[in-house]
Amino acid sequence: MGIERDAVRDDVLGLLKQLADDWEYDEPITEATGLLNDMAMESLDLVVFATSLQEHFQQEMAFTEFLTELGQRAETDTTAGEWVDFVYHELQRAGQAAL
Amino acid sequence: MTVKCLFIGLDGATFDVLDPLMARGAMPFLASVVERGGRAPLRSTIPALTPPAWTTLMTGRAPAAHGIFDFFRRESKESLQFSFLTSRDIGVETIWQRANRAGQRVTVLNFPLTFPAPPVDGYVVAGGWMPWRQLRSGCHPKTLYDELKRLPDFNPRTLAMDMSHEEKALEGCEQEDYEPWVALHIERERQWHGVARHLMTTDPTEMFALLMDGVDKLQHLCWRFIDPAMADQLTEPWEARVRDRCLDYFRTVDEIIADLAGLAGEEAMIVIASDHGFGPQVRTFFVNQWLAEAGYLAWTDKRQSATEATTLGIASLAKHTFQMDWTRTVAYAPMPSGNGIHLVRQDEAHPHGIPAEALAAVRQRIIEGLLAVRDPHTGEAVVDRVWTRAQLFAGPWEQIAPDLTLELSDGGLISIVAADAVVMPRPQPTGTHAPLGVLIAAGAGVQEGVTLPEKQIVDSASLLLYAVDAPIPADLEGELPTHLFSAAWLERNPPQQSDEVGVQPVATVEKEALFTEEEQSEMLRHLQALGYVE
Repeated sequence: MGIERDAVRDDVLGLLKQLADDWEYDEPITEATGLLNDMAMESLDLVVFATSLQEHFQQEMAFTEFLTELGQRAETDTTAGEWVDFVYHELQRAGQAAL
Repeated sequence: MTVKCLFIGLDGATFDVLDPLMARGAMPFLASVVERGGRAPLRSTIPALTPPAWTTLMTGRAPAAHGIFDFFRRESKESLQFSFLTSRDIGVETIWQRANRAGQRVTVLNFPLTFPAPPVDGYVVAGGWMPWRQLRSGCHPKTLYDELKRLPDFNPRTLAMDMSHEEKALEGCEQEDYEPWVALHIERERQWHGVARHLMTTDPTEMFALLMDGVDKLQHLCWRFIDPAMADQLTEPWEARVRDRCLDYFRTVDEIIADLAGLAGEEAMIVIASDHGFGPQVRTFFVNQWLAEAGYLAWTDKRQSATEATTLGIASLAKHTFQMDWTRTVAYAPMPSGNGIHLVRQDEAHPHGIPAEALAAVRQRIIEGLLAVRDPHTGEAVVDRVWTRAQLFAGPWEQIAPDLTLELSDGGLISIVAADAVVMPRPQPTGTHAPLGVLIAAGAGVQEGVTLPEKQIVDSASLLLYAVDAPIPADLEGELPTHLFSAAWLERNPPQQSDEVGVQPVATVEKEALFTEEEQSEMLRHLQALGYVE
């Protein structure tokens, strides 16, 4: 059975929403939400969130490669959707769904 | 269930500060613990730094075995990049896991390198560099954060990490910022107290460990207000107010320990330990500037220069990759925390590095050069000792450890930024780490009023396991300080030895070496774009 992107999206956005609820961020969290500009996360938050995702999906992921791709762009933000795509890609690559 | 061991970590605590505070009545409970128990100076790791030292205490193994030398670690032996360390990077088992295996539950609050929270039988709230927005992720079990949120005064923003505050502790602040800074840490300890109190009253575990790290933070920034030897120099009213607030902080710590000890009960052993001591730092050694002037390092035009002697370069973490010209740099210090220098070895990625046959000679020349550096204002040697990595870190992590680790003569931290001078006096002494911390124990067979000679921080793990009736495994490097206990107690409660060695899969160097040099450079560019590094 293949990995469903929708399921990955629900998990990643769910994790972000759960965190955001803790600091009373009221806006809806969608794939377009910017982690830095909208959610006011700091750079250390991104590193820690990447570790949390690996913990949640029980899967080592090449976050360095993910960040590499983002680093080639001019924008200084990263959207939730990009993280969904990355995790989905990594789980596909690993051939397992730990959902 | 009853608490067998209440372990209080006081980050950076030193008897140089605690003894006068106890003598003047500012820490009456701590004084009573010392009076009815034992004490010893506790020698830290080299470097005397929070991550390696607490990890040694939590594992009973030296940094060479657990692989934690600093806050960050080189990603692979070829890499110039350094990655943020987490609990997954600890190369050996912790005493929390070992206590669990002996059937003893644990509560572990605010210790570094506990994120992701290890799935122990008990409770974990991660400390160290745990951002407040994600504290939920640092809690174990997963339901714990929601439980804590229901506490009436719970405030994660105060409880957990704020990078801007960390930087302030080492780089200094404005006069008007001192009092709020101290007040913040009083409130922060009260937050941790609230968490600890809740867990101890609802589900006490045999091992109950709380780390209060404000001691370190205050002593870094406020050393001259805390050090009794400098009290005469506090002449301004605002300075007296800051000193009073610092005393309030230590009174608060004392009250928290007293309350938790009361909850733990008279049967519990109380163990109080610090990861290192503290002392004054009187000068700043700009080590990369020295390497540049000695011909081992070349700056690019993107270098950051110090404007004053207090700049250690906390904001310059990881900037070495673009602040240095790698066609002309063969030795560099990437971080101000671990006092480490890395050498660039010649290989495919670093054709301008040091050839293998020249490495020993270059290393020796650098050591000799460092030992010859003098403070131009006092004539004193700036560097007391230079350790090679074979001396400190021989073992599975050696290839990614610093090649050289410096012990400065004032015990201070190096600065990694460029500067107009190699050595500058500090306008005011600040606090910095010193090798001797504290070990205090009382209750459960600990003799009254015993003062032991110096112990090693690695010994603490054996003591903590003994305190919860867990066997002391054969692969622990320390020794149980048996002289703390009466002979009769030891006869009735002989330490259990165990042949076991750590059983869980552990981190390895190989796992880290996943990325090419090009990929690592791209990652840095990304982090720059996101503002993580400038």
